[in-house]
Amino acid sequence: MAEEKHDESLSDEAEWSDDGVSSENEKVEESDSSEDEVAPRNTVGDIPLVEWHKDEEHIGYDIKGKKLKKQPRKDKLASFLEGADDPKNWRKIYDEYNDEEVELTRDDIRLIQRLISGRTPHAEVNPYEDYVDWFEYEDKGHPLSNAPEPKRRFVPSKWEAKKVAALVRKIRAGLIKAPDEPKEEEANYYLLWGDDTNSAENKKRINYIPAPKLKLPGHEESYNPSVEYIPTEEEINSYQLMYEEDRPKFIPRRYLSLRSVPAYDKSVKEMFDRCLDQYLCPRTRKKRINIDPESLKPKLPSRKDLRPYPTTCYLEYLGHAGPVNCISVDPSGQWLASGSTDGTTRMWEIETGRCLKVWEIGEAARQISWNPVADRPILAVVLEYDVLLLNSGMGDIDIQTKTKELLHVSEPGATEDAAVSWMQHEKHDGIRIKHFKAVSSIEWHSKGDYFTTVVPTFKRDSRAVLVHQLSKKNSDKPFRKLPGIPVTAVFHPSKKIFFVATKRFVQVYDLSKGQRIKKLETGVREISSISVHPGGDNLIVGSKEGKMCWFDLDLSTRPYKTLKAHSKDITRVTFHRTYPLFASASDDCTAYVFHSTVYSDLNQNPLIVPLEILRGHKAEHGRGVLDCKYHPRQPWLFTAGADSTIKLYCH
Amino acid sequence: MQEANARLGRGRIIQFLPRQLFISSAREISITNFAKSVCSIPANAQKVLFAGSIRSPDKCSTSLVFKTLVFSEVKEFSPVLMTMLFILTGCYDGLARIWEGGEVSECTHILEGHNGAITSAKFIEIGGVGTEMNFHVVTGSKDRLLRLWKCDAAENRENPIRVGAYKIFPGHTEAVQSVTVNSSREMICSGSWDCSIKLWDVKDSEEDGDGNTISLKKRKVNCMTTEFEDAQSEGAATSTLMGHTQCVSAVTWPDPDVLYSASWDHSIRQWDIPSGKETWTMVGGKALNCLDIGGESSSLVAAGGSDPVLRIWDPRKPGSLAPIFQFSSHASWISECKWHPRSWFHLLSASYDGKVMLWDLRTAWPLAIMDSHQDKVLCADWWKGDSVVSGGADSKLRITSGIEIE
Repeated sequence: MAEEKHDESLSDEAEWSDDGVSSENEKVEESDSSEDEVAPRNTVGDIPLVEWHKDEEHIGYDIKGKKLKKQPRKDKLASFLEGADDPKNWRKIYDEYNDEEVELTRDDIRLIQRLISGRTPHAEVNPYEDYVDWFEYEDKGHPLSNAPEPKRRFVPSKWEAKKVAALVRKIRAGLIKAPDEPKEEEANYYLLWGDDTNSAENKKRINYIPAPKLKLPGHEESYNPSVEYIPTEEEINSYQLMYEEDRPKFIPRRYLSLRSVPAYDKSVKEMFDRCLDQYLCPRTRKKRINIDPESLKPKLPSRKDLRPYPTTCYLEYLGHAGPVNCISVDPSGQWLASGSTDGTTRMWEIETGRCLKVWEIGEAARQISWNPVADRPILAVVLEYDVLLLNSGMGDIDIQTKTKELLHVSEPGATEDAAVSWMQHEKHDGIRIKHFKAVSSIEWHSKGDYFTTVVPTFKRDSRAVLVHQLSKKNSDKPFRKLPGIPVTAVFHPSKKIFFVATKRFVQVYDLSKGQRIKKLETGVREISSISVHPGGDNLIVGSKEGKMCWFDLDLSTRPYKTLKAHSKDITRVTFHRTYPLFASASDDCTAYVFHSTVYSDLNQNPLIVPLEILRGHKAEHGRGVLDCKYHPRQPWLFTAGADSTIKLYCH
Repeated sequence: MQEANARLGRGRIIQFLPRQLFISSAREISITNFAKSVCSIPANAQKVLFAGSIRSPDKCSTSLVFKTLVFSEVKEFSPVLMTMLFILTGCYDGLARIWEGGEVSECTHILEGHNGAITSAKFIEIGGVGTEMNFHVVTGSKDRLLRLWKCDAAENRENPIRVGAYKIFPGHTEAVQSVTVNSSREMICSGSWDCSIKLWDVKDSEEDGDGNTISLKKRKVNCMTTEFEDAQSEGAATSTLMGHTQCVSAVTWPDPDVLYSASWDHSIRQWDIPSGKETWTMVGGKALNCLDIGGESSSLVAAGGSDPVLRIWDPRKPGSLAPIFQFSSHASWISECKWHPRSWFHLLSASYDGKVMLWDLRTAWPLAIMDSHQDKVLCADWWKGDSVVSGGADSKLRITSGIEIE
């Protein structure tokens, strides 16, 4: 039966070979390989057919490229019934690749059975052929040793056993561990252009700074960039005018195809330059100080805690027709006197802003100052060469009669060198003190009897600073020599000390001895105004370049603090009599209000806090705020402007 | 309110329509009366119904800033006076004037004598029997004196009567800033720039014609030898209250025993009159210009000063000096605040921004803004319960009427 089957299968194969390669007989002669016998119908190659063609209708392609359709699959029941009927079923195999059933021949079966039993597949092959000794030993002598094998070669080694035992002991003791299972290697991907300064690998190396990456190519480096990237002729020409360093390194160009792009001519040079850069320019980490700039600022108290201080303008004193040069507040805080370039001096009621009195003097008033004593309602007004002492008309009848007596010059007198002459001013019922030159400043002593005037003349003129006594109506020259041209002079509020400001220094004199005690170096170009703290130990100096210096007289002859606040000349600096405030007025149309606490503890430096910028005045002929004065009892500031107004800033 | 339509030339002496003070639809009425006081009525605002601008004959228009104080509590005295409503004004020209705001709205009396601007003026009493009526007026001035005046208001004259003071109160060493009268009309209180508050007796001095009366309560006497016209007597202060450190800008005397004062030293003080001691002190942050007591059971303190905020304190609240109300619609200093004489909730405030505002305690916004002055408003008061009189630095006295207080 098996024979018959074999014949049948042979005939089948013969049939296949028609469209195959050759006839069966030739195959047998040429090769005994069974694979060559059957030319594979399918040409798709060694692919996982089951997976890939699972859902397809074909299993592959034949040699001509036609799809090989899948055989219709029989269901399991039908195939079982078929197999039960067919006695040959046991030697049928399904060939997945070609999608067909193959019936094994008798030879195949025999071959398989031999393989299973562990014999050679083909019966013709004899594995145990007789040994043919191809060499002849008779005349060739003996092998190297003819000794019999020693016993030790058959006995297990004691030494090895000891070694093994030692290893076993170690393993048991845990000294030797089994090697870990080899880890699966992680995929070794990395960002080609990424910033790898903080990568784990680089962090292992201390102070390693990877080389900077090259710039990524952009759109302009494309072989066919958009039109906007391509420079015009003019732009290319303008590149020629630029410095070579600023010129763009690469000028985008258009090519029709990638093939026509030439080699980049500068690539070698650029790479070489880059190598030079990396090699000649060592990469170092710059230590940047990471400090919050806010924390470097001095810690100042909040402005809210320093109230009250003037902030808002509520009242204006209108009436002057020209720039108001100077103002002065009556010691009781009820009246305000102002002098203007329109030739008038006015007195105002502070409370309502009403002009109470107008003196038509006819000359511009430069400085004005109330007598600081309440029962001497006298105003000192500086005109060009004259100082007028006017009766303000305040006070009751007793005071008025006393004031009138005080302001009466019985016989006009003059000093020996005609620096000053006292005379009666008829029109306004006051005293006129005529100076030999223009007077620049006036200041009352706190007792109200003495006052000083400064006449800026040439150097070393003893007549430059004069001290006048109202009750005796005489004038005195307290200083023989002055080291510069004086600008202004003030009395110390309590001690017998006198301050004279020259252009760059402030000289401090002891009036009782007539000697210079100190010379304060301001460091400014030109002093315009000075003011003494009511405590007497501190002094502020305003300069024409907008700087303000605070001097602590006990501390040093150099400024404790220099404040650069104003952009133009400071016209006036002034202290408040009771509140810890000072202010500066400037030609830049602003007035600054500062807080200044002076501690009685000598070790503690004064606290200076800028509080407020007061605006509101308009510039007139380049001048802004010409004078500022504090109210003696309220934290209010009066400012006189070149726009002929006086403003009151209240808290 | 009857409408009248009139346009009259300047300089003509005209008579107002009888019993019609308020004319709403007239465009302008200018009146020059014999005292050369010009009254003009702009009728652009419904509420501004009468406005007076006064030019004094001697000083023309230069120095005329008004300082007015108004008395209007007529109801308390006599029903005869219900129709006669007078306004007392004190002016920077040193003259006080009494205006009859009734049917003939004109200046009836000119009180002359002060050498300085009048800062404060008050009616002491309006009395009289039948047709005879007398005013007693006190004025305080920058010449440091208080003056008492007596005027007769009964007759209808052509010229305003010039009256001299019958009594002066010297004693202050600085300008008198505020004057008030107590409820029994017997005592006067004055605050001054010399930081003191002085109390003066009116009745005592009136009986004693010779002057130099010395009261039993007298604590401090500041005698001053001054020369004055005849028929003037001098009075001395019965007591002096010291405590303020700066100008006493406002005093009110709502209760016979309690006096309130406000000062530029930022404080409001309550004084007990019999003992002359301070009982309550409130220190704010600003210099104060005005003070009034009113509101709920007449115990709230309203004050304004050197900032645009009108503040109201309750002195009964223990341990707290924070204001219970703050009204801040003004743009400049507040020059005057007055409670409505009858309402607990209404008060008015005048400010240097030229506005008079009417406030209700129950709302945060002003009920009405009277923008009638071109310059600073220096004083304001209620008048007749539904009108507001205000005087300003533009030399005008304005009356705004028709304010309904429910």
